[in-house]
Amino acid sequence: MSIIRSIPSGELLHRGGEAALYKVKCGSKLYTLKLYNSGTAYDQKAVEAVAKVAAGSIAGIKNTTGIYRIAEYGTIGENAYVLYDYIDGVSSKELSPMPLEFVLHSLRQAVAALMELQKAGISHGDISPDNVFFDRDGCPVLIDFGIRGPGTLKFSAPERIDGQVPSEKADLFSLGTLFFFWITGDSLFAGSNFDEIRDAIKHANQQRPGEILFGKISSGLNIKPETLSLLEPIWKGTIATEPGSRAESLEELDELLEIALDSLGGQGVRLSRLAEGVREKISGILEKNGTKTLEKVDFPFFEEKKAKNPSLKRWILATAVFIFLVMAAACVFLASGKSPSVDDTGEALLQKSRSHEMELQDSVKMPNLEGVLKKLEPEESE
Amino acid sequence: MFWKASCILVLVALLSLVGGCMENRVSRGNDALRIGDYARAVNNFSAVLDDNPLDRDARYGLALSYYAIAEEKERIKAGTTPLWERTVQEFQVLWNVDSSFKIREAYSNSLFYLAKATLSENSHANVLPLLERSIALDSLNYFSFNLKALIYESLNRSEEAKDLYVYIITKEPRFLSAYINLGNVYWHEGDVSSAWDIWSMGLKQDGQNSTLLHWTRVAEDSLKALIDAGRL
Repeated sequence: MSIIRSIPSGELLHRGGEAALYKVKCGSKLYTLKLYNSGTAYDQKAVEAVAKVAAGSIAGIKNTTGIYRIAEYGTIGENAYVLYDYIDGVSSKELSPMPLEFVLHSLRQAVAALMELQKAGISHGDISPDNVFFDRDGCPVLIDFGIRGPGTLKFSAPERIDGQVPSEKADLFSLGTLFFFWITGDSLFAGSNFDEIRDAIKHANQQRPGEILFGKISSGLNIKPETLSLLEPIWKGTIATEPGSRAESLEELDELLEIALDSLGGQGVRLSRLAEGVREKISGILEKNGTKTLEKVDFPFFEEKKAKNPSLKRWILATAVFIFLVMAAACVFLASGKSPSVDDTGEALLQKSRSHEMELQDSVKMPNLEGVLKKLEPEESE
Repeated sequence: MFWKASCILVLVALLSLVGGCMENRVSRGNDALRIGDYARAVNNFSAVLDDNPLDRDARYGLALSYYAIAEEKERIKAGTTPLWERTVQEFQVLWNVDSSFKIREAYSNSLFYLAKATLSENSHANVLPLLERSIALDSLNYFSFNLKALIYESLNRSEEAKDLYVYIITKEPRFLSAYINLGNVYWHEGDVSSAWDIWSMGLKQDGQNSTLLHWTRVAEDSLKALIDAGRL
């Protein structure tokens, strides 16, 4: 039986022009249900591929934690829907601005996930701050693949506004705008109405993100002016009107990000500290969000499976009672001779393993390997 | 209607029975794993997975069994790279079924071991991506941080290596290797005084550690000699 039919109700997270998002529960597992409005839908091919990638079932494509895990998708009544694992985190829109080194590192993670999907011929098409979540560990998770329209205007590539389908080049442009938003908390392409924003995007070549950032430093943006030049290759590889003027591929953007991150010295302890700060911020936002009361909505499709025939209802009841009795008997049987669970074994094994390593570390034997590990023992001074 | 209901009841009873047997096999695999009978543990967990590849407990049990087998070989200094590769592969599959923190710790440790085993076969192998993944999975895995710092040292990135050792010591002051290694970096740089400081700090954590005792004494003697020679 499909999961969606076994969900009686959900909590409304967001209602938009295209779809409504609900937090739902099936058993003990939490999901997000994206229920499209009648007449709108997702790109079947893209969603199907993402579901397979997330499940690790496509040969040659790495399973990645950087994209959402689709549990089910299809149509119910007149509505298309996508059901995916609930992400215990916050959208990058809520989290921005973030420290530069952390942003570069996170963007690399997002690019890595996109590269895997690219192998399956899938581009995102709607990369925006709302569509990248950060989980409690501070890792980015991309959601909402398979859009059919042009995407979020302020983050769309010019050719997407003209109606072209999602592409790697269009994603590169959106990643540039996302990069800017993550650093500043503001959109690179601003305007008071649709036409103004569209015109700004169409003339993206005239934008000077580095200069805008420099201007923002005086109003409190926490970036050192001397680091701005390190970001120029990234802007050049993303914010360009013509797709052909952008970076060659996501791989090239990844290299540009890596170079910038290395130049900032942002791979070591400092990055860990910044990530810790972001994780604390995420926890704070989640705690605050947890106090909000969400509107509860009963789903009509759940009623469809309710039994209408009274005698069938009786039989279902009898079967349920039978299952309950069998389960209760099984529980009594298992409880009577209960042995430790696999989790207990895992914990014991890991504890033993780490204390064993600690002993080895103490005696400095563990890294007793050739080359690199030889350095563990100090050499005699001359 | 009666026959239909009967069929349902029989089916439920059968399913319960099969479920019970599967549960039993997981339990037997777990018991075998706990007493070190790894071959039997692998057999039991594998049998459950043949019927239900999504069984989380059996999948976790199988990954742990491979882990225990590889670690046992590790202790007798046998070649372990293929074993850790198999373990990491199993954790990767498990990750699709369960990505909770419990799994992360063991998965992270497997990656650390794989990096270490790979280095033991080829000291120039690039294992940094393995260690990065290990740290991403468990930011408290100081063994991975330590190995990463050793690699940085070998790449002449000693400032970054120092940063990592300091990070480990700050987070886990009982991690003696980090003191030894950090002192070692200073020693190599000719900074005997700092090397002595760090090794002495390590000794405060464990005054019986023979390596730290030895090298603190060597550093002490060197410092005295330097003072006597008027070079300090």
